[in-house]
Order: sequence, then C-alpha cells, then structure tokens
Amino acid sequence: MRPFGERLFSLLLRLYPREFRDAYRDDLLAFFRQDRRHVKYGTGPLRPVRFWFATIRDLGQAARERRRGRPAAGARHAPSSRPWFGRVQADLRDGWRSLWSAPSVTLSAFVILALGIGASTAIFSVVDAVALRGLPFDDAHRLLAIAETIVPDGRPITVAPQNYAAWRERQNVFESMGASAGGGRYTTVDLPAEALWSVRVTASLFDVLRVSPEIGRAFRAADQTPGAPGVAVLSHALWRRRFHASPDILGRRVALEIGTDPAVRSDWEIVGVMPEGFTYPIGSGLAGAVDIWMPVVPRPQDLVRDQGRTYNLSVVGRLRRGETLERADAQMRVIHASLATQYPDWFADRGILVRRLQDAVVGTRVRDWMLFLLGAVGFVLLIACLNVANLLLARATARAREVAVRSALGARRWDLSRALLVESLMLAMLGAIGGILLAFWAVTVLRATLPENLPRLAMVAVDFRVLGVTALASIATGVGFGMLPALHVGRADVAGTLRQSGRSHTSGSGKLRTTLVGVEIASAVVLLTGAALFLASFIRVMRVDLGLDPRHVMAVSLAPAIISSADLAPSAPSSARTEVVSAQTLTMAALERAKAVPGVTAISALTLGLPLSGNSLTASVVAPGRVEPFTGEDELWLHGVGAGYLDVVRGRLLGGRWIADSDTSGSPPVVVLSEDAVRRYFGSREPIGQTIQIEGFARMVVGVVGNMRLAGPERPIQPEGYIPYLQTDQKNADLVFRTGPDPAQVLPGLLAAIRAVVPKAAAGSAETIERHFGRIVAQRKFNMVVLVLFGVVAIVIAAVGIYGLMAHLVAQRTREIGVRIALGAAPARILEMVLRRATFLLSTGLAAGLLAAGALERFVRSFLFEAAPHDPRIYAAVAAALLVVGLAAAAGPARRAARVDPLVALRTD
Amino acid sequence: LAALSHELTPIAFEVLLSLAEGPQHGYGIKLDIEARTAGEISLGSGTLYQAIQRLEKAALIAGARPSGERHDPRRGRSYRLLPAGRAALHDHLRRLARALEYARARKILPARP
Repeated sequence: MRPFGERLFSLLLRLYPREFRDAYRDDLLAFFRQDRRHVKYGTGPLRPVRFWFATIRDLGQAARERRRGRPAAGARHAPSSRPWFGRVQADLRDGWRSLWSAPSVTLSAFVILALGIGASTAIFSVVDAVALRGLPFDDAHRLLAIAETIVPDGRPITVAPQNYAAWRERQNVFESMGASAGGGRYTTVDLPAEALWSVRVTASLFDVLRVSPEIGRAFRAADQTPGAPGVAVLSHALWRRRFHASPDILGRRVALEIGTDPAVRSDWEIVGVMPEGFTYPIGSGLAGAVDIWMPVVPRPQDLVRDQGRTYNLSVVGRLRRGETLERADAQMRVIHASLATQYPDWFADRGILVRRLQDAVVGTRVRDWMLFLLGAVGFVLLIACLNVANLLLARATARAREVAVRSALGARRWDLSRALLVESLMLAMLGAIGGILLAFWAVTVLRATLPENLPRLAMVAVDFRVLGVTALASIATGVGFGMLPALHVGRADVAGTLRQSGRSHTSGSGKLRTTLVGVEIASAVVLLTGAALFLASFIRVMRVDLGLDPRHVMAVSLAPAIISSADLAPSAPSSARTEVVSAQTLTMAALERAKAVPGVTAISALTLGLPLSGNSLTASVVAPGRVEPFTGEDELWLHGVGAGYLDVVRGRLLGGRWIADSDTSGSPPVVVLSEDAVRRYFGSREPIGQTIQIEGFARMVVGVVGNMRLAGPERPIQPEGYIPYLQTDQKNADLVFRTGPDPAQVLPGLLAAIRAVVPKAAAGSAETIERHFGRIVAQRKFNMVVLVLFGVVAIVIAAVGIYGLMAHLVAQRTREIGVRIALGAAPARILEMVLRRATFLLSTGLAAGLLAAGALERFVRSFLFEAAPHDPRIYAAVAAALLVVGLAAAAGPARRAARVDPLVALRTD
Repeated sequence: LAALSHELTPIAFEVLLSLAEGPQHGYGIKLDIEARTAGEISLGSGTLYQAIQRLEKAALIAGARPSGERHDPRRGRSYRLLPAGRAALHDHLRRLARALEYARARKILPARP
C-alpha cells in the first residue's frame, strides 16, 4: 500500500486530461516524492500544509492551463448576445476558475462555511423534529388538547372522568372528543419477561386521531362498560417483536401481571394491531413508544360526584370544520363556568386550558428552548457569513485592477457583480455539501447528548425536509455574503484604480472590511458571553450538595410498582395482608442473596421513588402539640427503605439512630426525618422520641438525617421521611445497592442471584442512579456543550478575521512602514502602531458585543441556574479572553510589520 | 522566420536552458531553474510536465525510454535536448541578447555595474 499522501496525489491527478495523465503519471509521482523533501517548505508542523498548498495550487494552475487551448467562454461573443443557458454555464465556468485560482482563500471560506452550515443544519434538524414539525395525524392542526388547570399557577393537569363526560355532552365545537389515561407497566407472564407500556384509551380516541387498526378492530363503546371482557390493541412493534407478525393474532389472549404476585394477573383478548409507526400519546417520556392499548373502563366512583375526585384523563378533541381554537376556547370556558356553579367544590381550584395538541406535546418551555438554540446557531452562521464576505471582499479588492480594466473595456456593472455573486453561490453550495456531511455526524452526536425525555427525540434526523431548508439557507447565505463585495465592485472607481500602482487597494474596502470584522468580533462576544453564562450555570448545578453520592449506585426493580397512599401503613385487610407479607418475604430473600454477591458493598430494599428519579409520595403530617395537619408545601416526602439504605446513598446521620433490621411489621412503627422535616414540624424542639401522625398513622421519630436533594440539584430541599420497608403495605420494591467497582461489572452476577428468587426481576429496568442524575442535568449539559462549542468556533473564526484584516492592513502600508523605519522609527514603535490599531478594533467590537450580550441576557435567563443578572465576572472573563485571542491573532502581522526591510519595501512596485 | 514557429513560453525557455548542459530528469530541471532564478520561478509538477509535454510534441526535447540506460525509477525519466530544441534555444537567446543590447544602448536598463 502506498502512503496516504501519494494515494491522494494520484487521485488528484485525475483532474488532468487522460492523455497527459497516462503519459506522465510515473514522472509526476517521482516528482511528487522528491518535492516532499524540498527545503523551501520549511520545518515544523506547518510544513505539510505549505507543501500541500503548493501542490494543489500547481494542480489548479496546470489544470486551468490545459483549457487555455480552447477559446475562453465569451471570447467570441459579447456576453449579452449569449443565450441565457450558455451564459449561466459560462458564469459557472468562470466562477469555478476563479475559485481554483486562489485555493487558500477558497479553502478557508469552505471550511468556515461548512462549519457554519453544518452547525445550523444539525441544530435545525433537532429543532424541526422536536418543535416545528406537525404531529403525524390527519389534519393535525384541528386536534386540540383540553386540560384542567390548577388555579394559582395555571399549570395544566389531567381531567376528572366526570368532567370529561360533562364536556363531551355539552360541547358542539368538536366533531369528536377522546381521552387517554396515564401509562401503566405490565410484565408479561410468558417468558422472557418483558415490561410493557400500556395506555388506557376511550373508544372514541382512535376516531379523533383518525387512525384505525391495520388489522382487527378499534375499541367500541361496549368495551368500556364495567364487567366487559378485557380487550387490547397491540402496537405494530410489539406484534412483530413478540408475536412474529402472525396474521392470526386476533382472538388470541395475552396474559399480563402487575407485581411479583402471580395472583395479580389479567387476561386480555387481542382485537387489533395498530399501523406501523403509530403511537399515542406522543413523546410519552422515557419509555418511548406505547406497546399496548386497553379501553378506559370507568370505576363506579368515576360516574358520581360525591366519592372523591380523581384526575387521570388527557383529553383531545377534533375541531369541526370551520371552527377555530378561539371559538373552542370560549365555549369550553362557558361550559366550565356553568359546571363551576353547579359543583362549586369541584371547580373552586380548577381552571381550563384549550390549546393545540402540538403545543401540549411540545410544551412552551421546550419550544422556547428550541428557539433559543436556533438563535444561538444563527449567530454562528452570521459570523461565518461575515468572515467569508470579508475573504471575498479582500480578494475582490486584490482584483480591483482586473475589474477596473474589464469595466474600462465595457463590461457592465451587472456582469461584474454577477460574476462575484455566482462565485459566492458556488462557494455556498460547496459549503452546504461540506456542512451536510458534517451535520450527519453532528446529529448522531446530538441525539446521544440530548435529554432522553425530550419529546420526539427519536425523530431527529437529517432528512429531506431539513436538507431543503439547508439548501435554501445556503442560497440565502451565499447571496448574503456575496452581496457586499458585489455591490462594492459595482461602485469601484475605474480611473482611480487604474491610476494607482498595482499593490494599492481602495480605502473604501478597508473601511468595509474593518466594519465586518468589528461586527464579527461583536457577534463572537455575544456567543462567548452565552458560553460563559451556561458554563457557569452548569458548574453551579454540579456544585450543589446533593447530600447523597449517586456514583456507583444502581437499582434493580423487582417488579413494576404501583404506589398508593393506602399502602403507607400495614393496615390492610387480612387477606391482602398475607399477600403483602409473602411479597415482602420474597423481596427480603432476594436481598439476602444479593448481599453475598462480590462487589456489593451496601444494599437495601426501597419503595416509593428511587433517589433522583423525581418520583415520590407525599403524606400529610400531624406533629405533637398541633391539631392541623401539615399539608401542601409541608407534606412529608416518604420513602420505604431498609437498614442498608443510608450506606447505599452515603447520607449523614445527625442524631438518634437509622432504621435497623429489627424494625419489622411486628415492632413499634418508627420514622427517620430529614433536617428540613424536623425544622418544619418541630422548630427548635427535640424531635427524637416524639410521635407524629403520618396519613393518620402514628410513628415515633427515632433519628434525624441530613437533607438530601432526592429530586435533583435544582429542586428545593423537601421534608423527607424514611420508614422501614417492612412497616409499609408495599408489595413491590426495588433493590438499590452500592458497588465497589463499576456497577456494570457487578450487575450480571447480581441479577443471577436475584433471579434465582424472583425470576422476572428487572424485566423493565436496571439503572444506575448516576444515569438519573445525568438525565436531570442533561439539558443544562447540552446547552453548556453547545454554547461552549459555538463560542470556541466563534472566537476562532473571529481570530482568523482579525488576522486577515491586520495582515491586509500591514501589506497595504508596507511602503509607509518602510519609510518610517528608514527615517529612524524603532521596530517597537511599528509593533505598537499595528497593535494599537488592533486594540482599537477589538475594543470597539468588544464594547458593542458586551452591550448586545447584556441586552440579550434576559432571553436566556430562564435557562440558567441561579444566575445573578449581569454578573460582572462573566463579562470580564469574556473581555479578557477576547483581548488575549485577538491580540495573539494580530501579533503575527504586527511582528511582520516591525521586521519590514525599508530597502525591500521601497523597491516594491 | 523558421525560428518563430518555435515561439517559446517563459517556462519552455527555462526548461530548454536547463537541458542545454546535458540530460536531466524532471525534478533536476526544477531544481536547476530554481537555483538559476534565485527561487523566482519554482515549478510544480503539473506546470513542469505540461511544458515538457508541449516540448516533446514539438520534437524539441526527448525523454529517455524507461528501460534506457540512464533511467532511475525514483527520479523519473530523464530528458535531453534534440537538435531542433538547441536551435530554438539559440534563436531565443539571440533574440534576448539583441533586446538586451538595445535596452542598454537606450538606457532602458542600467548598464552592467
């Protein structure tokens, strides 16, 4: 195998005509090999760059040379007499030639554009999939979500079945209305055990969505009557995965269970299979797609209004043709108001919210976030455009003489400007190709970095829709950065340019370029400030003391848990109690086995919410000396845990004792409170030994532990209470354990041990707590990474711009500098002169950028964690970073200026 | 007037000049030209071999056969001046010399120091 360089070179040889290539290939390769050792390419890391620049430039010139034999396009005819197709062809050919003639400019422009367009394409593909794209339903804009809200903050919640029934009856703006009820997790009875995500839906729901099963039938009203035989509709994926897409699936039964207890088993007749790709609700969180749908069957208490309130339905309606969101909203408010006078105690604290289903799926927070990302990447694209405009302008002024000659010979302004525009469009297209390739790679990276619970994350991809937008954006970009130089050329002063000696440039272009670089610096400052803000915010989040250590902690779920406050105390009727005891015995047996697995350093049973999972159950508390229970904000967040739990999470015991193995259902009921719970319920009084009522059940406080932020670093500290797992009526539990080595290494042995007792353990999940933590901070991390990346790209591009401009200014003033040195100016003075110019440019851009960043900060404030407004340290850091990088970029040209040899300088021209 | 049919481009002229003292391979020609012009003319492979191709077609120079006695595969073929090439070079040099003399006489170019 030949070395890479040679292979590349022989590939490039294909640019030559075949005849030439065949005759001289070996000679050209021999030349290439010898030339690599030539001293003129210097030493150091830039040697290969110089070598390849020279090689490619030669290739370009030679390839162009070949075509000189043919008459140049337009040489025979005046441009205007050419038919337009031929003219376009000629324009393209001229553009290509011109791009080839300055490969270093073309290459830099290409790289910068590919970066800008690639970043924009990747971000746009995320924003489009998550926020912009319509839902995959027929006439999806007519689908509205109707929710009840909690009055003080207007937060939408689910709907009570009674209210849903009343709405359906009284409204006439929707042609149909349906509802779904939250997902449950079932485990298959048949092995291999698999946790299935199920959703209950009303018979009308599939009609509202206008989707019907691919085979079989949808639900009927009769399926919703209490006591009707259980029926289910499968997702296409489940049908394929578990039933091998068997066509005689209809009428077969699937047995499912909840929990470890075989008694809680149910049989479902399969009546239909949904079409491929269908899922509802959309973006239903971590679990992704739903596996199985079952009908909502109202319980007796759901049909009357005097047996408590349950809110469990998500309601969606399809607007009648000709109706609008506003009309629907108005009518639903009227219905709501009349229901409120009829049943005041149901609606005192409830409002109503009608919005497009799409907005309900995406949510305003996510949409704002997406728009913010789009804005940030817009700055990157802007900087890229400014820089390329600058490069093209530099080249256009370098060719001012050529242009002046052409216009003196009668070329029209339009022809000259058009040539430049065509060139920039071609460059933009090249950049788009590079950018799209970059985007394909970036999207896979983004998908892995984005929070898993982002709605419609799985749809993020570079597809035709994204490519179309990229193509349009590239054309806009090309016109955008081509316009300035084109206009500038149009205005060129022919006589003046021709009179000047070959090396000079019009001063107008210098001013324009300075302005462009200034704007570039200002934009870079805006992005850098954003990067610094998000970085600081992320660091603040990571520094929050959780009160627990999530590393090397993992949880295995023994069975999907269904949590109810009725299970908080061992008070169930005796038959149910036996079930609980047998389930808990099983859990403890699994725990004993797991304890012996090598690598496990601490282990505990846990119910009611894994640390950092955000799940928990709150309970009202009555403290001694008080009659009124603590409710609302002051409710206790409860966890059923074992003796090993404190060691697993590495919590701090502050007083009294922790839960012991001897705290069982037979021993006195106890609770361990967190510092914050003690502060709320006892103030400064001594809590240990006191008895409190939790949901009406008396427990003695035996210990106090440090606060843990079990819902993550950004959530306020909650009053937490820990009760012995064996003193609850929870049948199901997770085993949570700390390992010495990486939990992934311990897991296989651990699962084997647990499954010896509970065969279906962890059918759904075996997860590290660190992963939960990662999920909580995923959005912050993503924002931080993206903004820092953008900031780095911005400052690099801006530095290139500064370098280019200073080099240009120095080259333009070589003569003047030569004269100054000849008259005795010290090189240090010259250095200072150039650097002063750079500093002026930098500080002007910096000032403008900081002002803009300050004004834009309020748009990102809601994405930041505990950020002080206009933190001077952030702005100072940005200013310092920009000045250092900017002056470093200007240093090269400045040194070159100081080393100008007056004799050489005066001899030029 | 016969000489004018072999009007030489600047690069072709430099190549012929390099071969005047004896056969050379491609890269040798490049180094020779660089040395003579103090680096002012530095040819890349494409530019050089296109000039060589043109000169070969015009039968002014000839490349050694790959199997030939002076062939070294690491350096590529070596080229030598054909009589027509030598004549074209002489014509060109004569024209240059005349032009130089004229320029000096009219003080267009300073006299040799």
